[in-house]
Parts: sequence; C-alpha cells; structure tokens
Amino acid sequence: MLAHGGLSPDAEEGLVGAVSEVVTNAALYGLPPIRLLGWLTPGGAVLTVTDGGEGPDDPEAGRRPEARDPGEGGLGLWLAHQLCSEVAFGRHDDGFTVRLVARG
Amino acid sequence: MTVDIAVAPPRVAASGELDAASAADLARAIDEALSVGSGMVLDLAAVTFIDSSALRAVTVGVQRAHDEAQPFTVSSASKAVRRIFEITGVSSILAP
Repeated sequence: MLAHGGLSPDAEEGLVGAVSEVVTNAALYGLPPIRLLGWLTPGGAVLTVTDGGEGPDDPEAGRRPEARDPGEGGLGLWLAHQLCSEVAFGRHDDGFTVRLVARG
Repeated sequence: MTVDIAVAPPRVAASGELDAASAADLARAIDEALSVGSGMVLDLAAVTFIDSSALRAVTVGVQRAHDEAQPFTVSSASKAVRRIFEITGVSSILAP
C-alpha cells in the first residue's frame, strides 16, 4: 500500500515502526483478533490496529516522556508517537483501536 | 544472532529485524557475552529494523555493563536503526 503513496521514505519508515509497536502491544496486552486497516490519503496514510481488548488504562499512555517504562507497552507507544504524525485511541463495542496517521 | 566469546571483547552480531519475537534471544546473547566480564560489542550491521522491546534488551545490557564497569559498544547501526536510538535518547552508546 505504502509503495503507491506519496509519503517520504522517513515518514514511511516511521509509520512501519509505529505500526509494529502498536501491533506488538495488541498481541501482548490485547485480545485477538487483531485487525489492521490502512488507506492512503492526499497527505499520506492512515493505519488502524484493532484488537478485542480494552487498551491501556491510562488515556495518556505513551504521551508523556516518563511513560517510557516497561509494562503496558509504555515505551512502544511512546515511540509510536515519535515516529508518526498522530496517534489516537478509540474504545468501542468491538474492542480497542489505535489510529496512526503519517504525513510528509 | 551469533555470540562469539572467543574474541576480545566478546561480540554479538544480530541480523534482520529485531522485535518482540527476537528480543529474548538478543537479551540472552548479550547476557552471555557480558558474563565473560570483558565488555562486549553489539554489531548491528546486518540489522534492518529495531523496535522498543529489542531496544530495551540493549539498554538493559548497557545498564548491566555500566553496573559492572564493562565497556559496551554498539557498532555499525544503519540510519534506520540509529534513528530509533536517537529518538529514545540513547544514541551515545552508538559507535560514531
């Protein structure tokens, strides 16, 4: 998908890294099934990772520098925030979704 | 992943993608090298990708080396791998 988009190599590399972190967290801390959805946008790309769990207890997970601690995937989520433009959480009937946006 | 304790200092060479699936192997390899007691070199020349779990295995190793006054060098990190070290603020352990 990303090969057909207009993301810079850095932004693409960052998105791949961010997705990897989020998928790892879903596998370690979430519940199956884990579903990925991705699409290209005029500005870049959006990728969502959904699992059947509830996501982190802390709504600010991964956003604070001190969240770079082991447990609940803190460092991975923090890294995801650094590697792409936007990270958003959504909790819904089917589970928990992390939405990653890459631009540039 | 190879561990060579016959060289001085012991050398761990990793390859491919270092992620949650390989982080435990990496931690074990680092522990084995550091158990010799003469420091170690972690050669990342063949590593294309590193995630937070693998990075944590490295930083835990760096901390152990520091606690035991052993040198720990990470060599030949690619631009992509170096980026992860820099973002996390631990790029000082990378060889120039």
